[in-house]
Amino acid sequence: MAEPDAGRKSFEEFAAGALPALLRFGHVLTGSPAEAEDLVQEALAKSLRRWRKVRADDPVAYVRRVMVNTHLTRWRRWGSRVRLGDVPEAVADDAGLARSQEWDALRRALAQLPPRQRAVLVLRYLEDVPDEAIAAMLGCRPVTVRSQASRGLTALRPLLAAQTAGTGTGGNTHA
Amino acid sequence: MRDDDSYEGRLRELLRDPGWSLTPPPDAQAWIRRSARRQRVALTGLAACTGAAAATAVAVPLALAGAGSPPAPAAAGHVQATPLTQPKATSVLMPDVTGLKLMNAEAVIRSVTGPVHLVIRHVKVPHHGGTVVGQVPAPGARVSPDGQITITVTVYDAS
Repeated sequence: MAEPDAGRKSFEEFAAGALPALLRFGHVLTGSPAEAEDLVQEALAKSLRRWRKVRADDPVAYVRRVMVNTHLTRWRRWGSRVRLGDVPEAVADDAGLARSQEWDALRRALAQLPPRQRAVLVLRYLEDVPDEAIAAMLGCRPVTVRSQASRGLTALRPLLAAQTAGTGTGGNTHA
Repeated sequence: MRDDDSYEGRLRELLRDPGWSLTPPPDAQAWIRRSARRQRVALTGLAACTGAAAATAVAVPLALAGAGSPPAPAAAGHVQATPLTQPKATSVLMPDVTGLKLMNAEAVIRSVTGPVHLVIRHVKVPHHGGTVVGQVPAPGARVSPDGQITITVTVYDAS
């Protein structure tokens, strides 16, 4: 009897600890807060159903993998009908959500990238996942990951170059 | 190379911007368990529908064979299956897919009806999208394999 309780407790601890980071990862991955929440909820629910197996390995990596694959599958199924990654023009004018111009520019630039390329960049530069692990996650070769990352970086380069050049010149909306 | 490093560094920095942070839902555990329950229901429904479809696929040809040919003398304890001509496609009962996620709904429908023409309509909502909120024909109605099914799915709209 103690075992299921222990499993439940360990899952709750894991979910509580990992949730903020997973939500942020989902947000960067999808570009949409609602889609991010949906993705995290689904991935955590999946990991809860297989918790005994998942906990023995690397639960965060498992949840991340489920999120990426679910997102890419949804994109393939829905991509032609709905652009889930579309960025709303207006950002909420809540003071707590005040954004820098460069963050907003990156948000828009990421939304233009193909989802797979975006996933590679997010895994590589936000989560610092090695190329080999990204390749295993996406079911491709490390060389493909490197080329996707290179293409994504090239697409973002004009933005990053402008921001790098403009750093310290007041390209920020914060007072 | 130096430029590459600085771009990568800048990207890393921007991806870690606090603007990406989201507030976790107040009761995260219940939120996760709700989704797990939905997944279980969807999987159970899918398994049941697949089982029903398989049973139909076996039962219908056997029933047609029974009706179309005189009863063959069967050896005691044996049921003899007669080779059949291809049976005509029959209509099936429309499953209830409301409340399911689009992906699960599609899987359930396809498993029951086969390659039916599926039309997906979208309705914008100010909260999480991706859930089926309507379907035509209604649950329990008959659908022919060459018929059309329309399902209405919510799509998140921030505006």
